[in-house]
Amino acid sequence: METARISTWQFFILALGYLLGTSFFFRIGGLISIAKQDAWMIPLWSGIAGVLLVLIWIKLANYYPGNTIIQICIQVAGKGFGGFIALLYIGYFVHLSALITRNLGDFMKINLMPRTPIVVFHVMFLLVICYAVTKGVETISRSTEFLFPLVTVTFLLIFFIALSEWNWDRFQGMFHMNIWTTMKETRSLIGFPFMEAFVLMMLFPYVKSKNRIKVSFILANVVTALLLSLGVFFTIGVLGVTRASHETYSLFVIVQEMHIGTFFEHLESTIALILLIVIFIKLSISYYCAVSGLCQLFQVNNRSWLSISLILLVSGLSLGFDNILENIVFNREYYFEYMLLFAVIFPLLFLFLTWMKKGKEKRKVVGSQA
Amino acid sequence: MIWFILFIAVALATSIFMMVKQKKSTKEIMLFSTIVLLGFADWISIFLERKFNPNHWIASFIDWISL
Repeated sequence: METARISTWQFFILALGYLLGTSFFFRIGGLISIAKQDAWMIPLWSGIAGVLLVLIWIKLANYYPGNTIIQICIQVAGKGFGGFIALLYIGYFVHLSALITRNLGDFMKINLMPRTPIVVFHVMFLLVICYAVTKGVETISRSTEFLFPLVTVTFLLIFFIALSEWNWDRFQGMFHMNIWTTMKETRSLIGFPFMEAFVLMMLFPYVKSKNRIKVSFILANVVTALLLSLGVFFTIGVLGVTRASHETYSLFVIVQEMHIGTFFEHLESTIALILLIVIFIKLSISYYCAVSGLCQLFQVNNRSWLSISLILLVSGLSLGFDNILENIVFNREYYFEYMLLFAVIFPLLFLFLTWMKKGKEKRKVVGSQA
Repeated sequence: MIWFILFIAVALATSIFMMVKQKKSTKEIMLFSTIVLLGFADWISIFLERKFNPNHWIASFIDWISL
């Protein structure tokens, strides 16, 4: 396993970039289309669910300090069954990488370069990601640390400039939702991004101060929930429910229409650059987890060849989805159920097996003493 | 498609040659080749217009277990 070390702050930035990055771009329109003026409340309760999930993962990780989820699988469930579950996890990391790559391709093709084949975006970006992954988790976290302030400043700038379009009338009709129906329809927000965060369990062994992982991970979840809620609130106030719910990339539309006099116009390329950065953060983590998981499962020391070979698989899988609508429907209808297996069922099963093992060991000790 | 097949064949052969030269373990070479072949199969399925769509499989499975 890699001997890299990252600080708690770097872990926090990685977690925040991973959780908030793409969801800020791809989630907002969908939430508004379901919950209308009340959509800003959804990230809040999803964030609470996210924090509860983090507590489960931290509890599991505390039983196996210095181990990733792949190693925990093998230690808890044995080489056969545990190895199979570990392989499922690696399959998920690869699938997630393909989904993120496709998100990037769709965005670039729809908004910026409609005449360029989508595969070009995929392969070019995967080459960069492959290089980052080969360099290791320290490089990824340092580049995230370097790039994240740029993303934050740009978002703040957009926020303050677009406030001139703010209209409180767009919130009329608030507090009319049916809570249970809305919760059921927006359950996918718990799946993406909050359940997806279990991927970060692959990075726990690299964090220097183990005691502070819990605080920084929970803090990243809370900040994500609050910022997502603020993002939805802001989009409703600036674009209005009707427009926001009909746009796939509502944040992009806000920036497209933004201008300061005739001097600052067409700022959409800036936001595209920001999207590239956040996709870099998320994709490099998921791709790193896939490569590192393979290395840990098959006990391979060098990541370079495996990361090169995955480019072909991930770029192929990302072309398997027919169009952006298919991804949206999959996300809304099935993603939560799909994520339940990896983020809830398996971790709870491992916790249960660990408690069983500990109980058995305790009984053995008591029996030998008697 | 023929160019793609040729490219993969040459790239795979060169990579394996380089890995052998770097004295990589058999396990690593096998794992590398398996992933490349999986990716190759996926790309061929795209060229033959019988795309492998993981979302479709997962959605069908979830529909099936929830009946």
